[in-house]
Amino acid sequence: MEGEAYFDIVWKQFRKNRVAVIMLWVIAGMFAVAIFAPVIASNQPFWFREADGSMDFPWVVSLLNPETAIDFVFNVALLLVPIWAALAVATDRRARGKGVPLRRRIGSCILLFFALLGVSLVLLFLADRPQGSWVRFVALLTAMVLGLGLFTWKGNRPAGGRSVSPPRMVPIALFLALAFGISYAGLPHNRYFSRDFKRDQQAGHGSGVYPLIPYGPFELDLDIIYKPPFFRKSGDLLRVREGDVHVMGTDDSGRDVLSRLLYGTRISITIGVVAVSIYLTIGVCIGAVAGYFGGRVDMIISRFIEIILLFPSFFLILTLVALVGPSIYIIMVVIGLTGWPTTARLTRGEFLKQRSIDYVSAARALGASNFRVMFRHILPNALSPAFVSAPFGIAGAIVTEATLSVLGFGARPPAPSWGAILNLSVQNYEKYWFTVFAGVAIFVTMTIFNVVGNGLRDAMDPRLKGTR
Amino acid sequence: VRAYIIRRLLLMLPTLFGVTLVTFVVMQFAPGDPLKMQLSETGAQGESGATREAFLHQRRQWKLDKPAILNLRWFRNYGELARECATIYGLPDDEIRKRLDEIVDRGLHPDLRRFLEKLEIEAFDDQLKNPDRRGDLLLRVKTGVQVLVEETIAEHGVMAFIALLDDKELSVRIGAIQCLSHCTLGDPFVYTYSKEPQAEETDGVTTTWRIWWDREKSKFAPIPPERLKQLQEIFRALIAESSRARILEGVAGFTKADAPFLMEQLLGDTPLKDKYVASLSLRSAIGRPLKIDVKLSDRESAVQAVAENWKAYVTLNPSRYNPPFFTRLVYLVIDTQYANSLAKLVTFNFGRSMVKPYDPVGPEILRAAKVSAPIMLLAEAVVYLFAVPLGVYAAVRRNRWQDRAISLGLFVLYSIPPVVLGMLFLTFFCFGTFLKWFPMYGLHAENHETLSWVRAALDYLWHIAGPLLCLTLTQMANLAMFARSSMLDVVNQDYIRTARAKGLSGRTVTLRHALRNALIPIITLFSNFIPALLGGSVIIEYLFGIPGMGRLSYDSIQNKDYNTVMALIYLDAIIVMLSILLSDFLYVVVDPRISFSKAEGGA
Repeated sequence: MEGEAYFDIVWKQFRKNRVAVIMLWVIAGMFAVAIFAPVIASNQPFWFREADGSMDFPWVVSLLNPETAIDFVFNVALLLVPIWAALAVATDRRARGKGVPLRRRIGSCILLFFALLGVSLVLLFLADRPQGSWVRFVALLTAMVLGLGLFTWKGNRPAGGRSVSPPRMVPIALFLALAFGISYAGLPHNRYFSRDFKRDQQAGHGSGVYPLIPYGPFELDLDIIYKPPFFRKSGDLLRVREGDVHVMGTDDSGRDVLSRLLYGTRISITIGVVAVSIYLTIGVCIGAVAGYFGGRVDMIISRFIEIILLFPSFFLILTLVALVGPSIYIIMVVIGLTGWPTTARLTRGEFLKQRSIDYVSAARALGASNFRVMFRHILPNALSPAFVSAPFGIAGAIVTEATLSVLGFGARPPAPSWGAILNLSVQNYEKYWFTVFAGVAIFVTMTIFNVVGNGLRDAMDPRLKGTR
Repeated sequence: VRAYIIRRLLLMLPTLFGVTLVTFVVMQFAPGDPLKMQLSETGAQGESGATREAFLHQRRQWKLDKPAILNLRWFRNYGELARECATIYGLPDDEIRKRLDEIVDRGLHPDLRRFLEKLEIEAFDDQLKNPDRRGDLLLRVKTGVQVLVEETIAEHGVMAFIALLDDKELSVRIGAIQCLSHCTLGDPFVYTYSKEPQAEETDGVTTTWRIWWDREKSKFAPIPPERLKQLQEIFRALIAESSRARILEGVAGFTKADAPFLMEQLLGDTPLKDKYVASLSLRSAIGRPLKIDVKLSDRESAVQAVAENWKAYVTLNPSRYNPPFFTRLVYLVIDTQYANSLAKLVTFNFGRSMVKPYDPVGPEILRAAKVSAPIMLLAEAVVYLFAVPLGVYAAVRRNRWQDRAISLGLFVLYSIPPVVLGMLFLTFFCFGTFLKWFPMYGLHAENHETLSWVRAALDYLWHIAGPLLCLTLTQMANLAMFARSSMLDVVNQDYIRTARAKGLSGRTVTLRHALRNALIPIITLFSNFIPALLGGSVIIEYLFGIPGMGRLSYDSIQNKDYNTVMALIYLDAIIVMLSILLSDFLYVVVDPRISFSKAEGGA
């Protein structure tokens, strides 16, 4: 329990830094934008009233048939938000009744969300092959129940050691899952694929209600390529409603830049989080082994770390990406595979420090296995340096992606990553809006993550206390 | 101290070895190699004709057809495989076709079937079963066998094919001979030197003519003395000649009967030029006497003659085609792609670029470094000039508004990625949509050679202003933050308080006591910048069109130019390690409290 007390102290320290706390909320906002991107910008109407008076719901359908895998994950997350909110409110009321501190409650709510998301994704993936809607329905239902079970089993335990048994939650959850499942499974998936609602509306075949920005990130319109910011469409160009504006202009295929920028948040966040998780996992494991066992194992691993550190890291990433082939996923994996040595080194140092402390001897004397001592006893105490480097790592990964894209090794064209948008200005500088908007987006993200990282470091490193 | 440095330098060797190994393995991940890439760009695919021949020669020269790290091929017994290959080669097309039919219809030739399956032809079973596609299959089988012989068996299997020359079936013998000429890439018999004679070629040329001479010696009568004197005169004149065309003209004067004299010149202990002229003369007087190729329709006796030529050739080159066991053991490690490139790196002779026009790598890197280094040096100077005073000032004014403003400003600068900064600079200050204050590309104006040196220097500065700005801002923020925290560390020390208590003025305390100690880590940090100094920045050089190290790395990576990439990473690793050593060294020099014995204990 000492580790948790430590994190409580860190949290208290962190809260003193007002700017960092604000920036933490901004990051939460970024995640929200990533998840809610289709609510803000989509080329599919929420609902569409046909000429004969019947209704269609293309937006929901488009959520489950997105262009890329990253979009799929975030769309499922978006669909899960109402279920999650209901569950979170229900459990949080009980937790608050027991006097659980705010940080812990936020933590368990986030955990619940990822549990739901993880289970649904796995089951949706499994249900993907047979297109029959019943299979999907059952899969989704199971996902809900399992997610709930996982949450009540594990997620709420930090509340004070006792698990919360939520009597009213089960029926609520089942009901929501049922509603969600039926709305999903009952939808005619393929009906809208070939249909362009905007053209239909233009031709007078009905009318729809669109999101605030009625453009999708992949929506082509070759009549309006390379239009500058605040381009206002009128006459024949008009697709949806009077006074449609492309606030950030359009790109080489007439796609709306603002919409792409919003969806690009998803890619950037994914790249940052996935790459950093990969290298933190690798780095912590390798560093733990080196530091815990010491001796010859340590020497070999340290030498290996030294070798990898000798490489100019960007050069290595560039080489790997250029050789394996450009794609967002490759970039994530490559950053993940090349970034671990620093983490490993830090973790190794912590392990070397911790392993001679009494509690480790005590754990060993009680007969704990090496694995248990390493990962259950030492790791929570040795995690902080790796943890501190995570926000910086996310910022770095986002910039690396942008740089690679500008060099021509980035995301393939239709993917709306910030780097790809930035790349449109290279050798083409009169189209300044790509540089300005994507550049500012990257810059702001960098600043946010750096501020939070800085705050975290100050909070965790007692030596720096008082210097600020 | 010396022992410490030597120990550190020795520790570098295994690390360097590891670096090259990792780089090499990374490059092996890539599908294809630079040659294949260049071929596919020209659309030739390297499957037939002269392109294929040039492709194979180049591959073999760079050892790209060798295994990556361990060459087990010298230990393989190629007997079976060679037999199958020779069988396919020796059969006419319709015969192979018939056998393919028999495999399907009557289940005959299980050996052949197994062999064909080993070739890993795409959709093999499908093509085999479908009679309409069996014509395609025939073509693919032949290409597959050819690739196998040329790229994998190559010189390792020469002895196996030689053994097949005594086979009782004529078609196998013919096939084996054809395989042999594919293994050795066409004609192994070298009759003359190349246009610019090299000493290494002598071996091949003398071998060829010796084979012929041993066989034909008895047929030649000794040359009469007057003719001999005449020959010697002509020969001397030709040797003195420098124009190749003239030599070729003069060489036509020799006849077949002069062969004993010419052989003497060629095989004797003579200079290179003599051998060169002699071989040219022999070639013009006698032609290409050693036949090495056969056709499927050739008769027993013709095949036998060619086979004898091959046997003679191999017996004269035992080390090349049939190395003794110990040599094979050495080849296991040496005769590989990795050993090949490692040898180049260790001798600092990086070979040639694998991309046209095949320039030598070393001078190319030197040229690029000469472009990058001044820019980076200037950038470093600017960084130190501004960052250190800024950081120190912020530390002195800590927790006041000056400190807050500077810290915030530095933080913003720190968060602008160079790529974004560079593109914004180009958009707003270079392109002309907004302002056109600075040039977009290059290092010099077009007429920079005619300018006086002052103007040339100003022109240079004007050109590199943009890159300089992008390179300095981020680093400046970094260093200023470092300087600030280093100064803060010192300011909080007891001896500063003591100095103040003594009644010294704030300025004296700051400059004499605090700053001097705070500078120690800042100075040693300088060595960290050395690698960047020489390495340049890929993205900045790409955006601003500067032909420096960053650009070179980018180009070589994109072209999969193995030699250049390996050389760059190797040099970079060396520089990084040396600069780490330098940084440790600087610590001791700058700070008398630290000594090597302590540093050694820590390392």
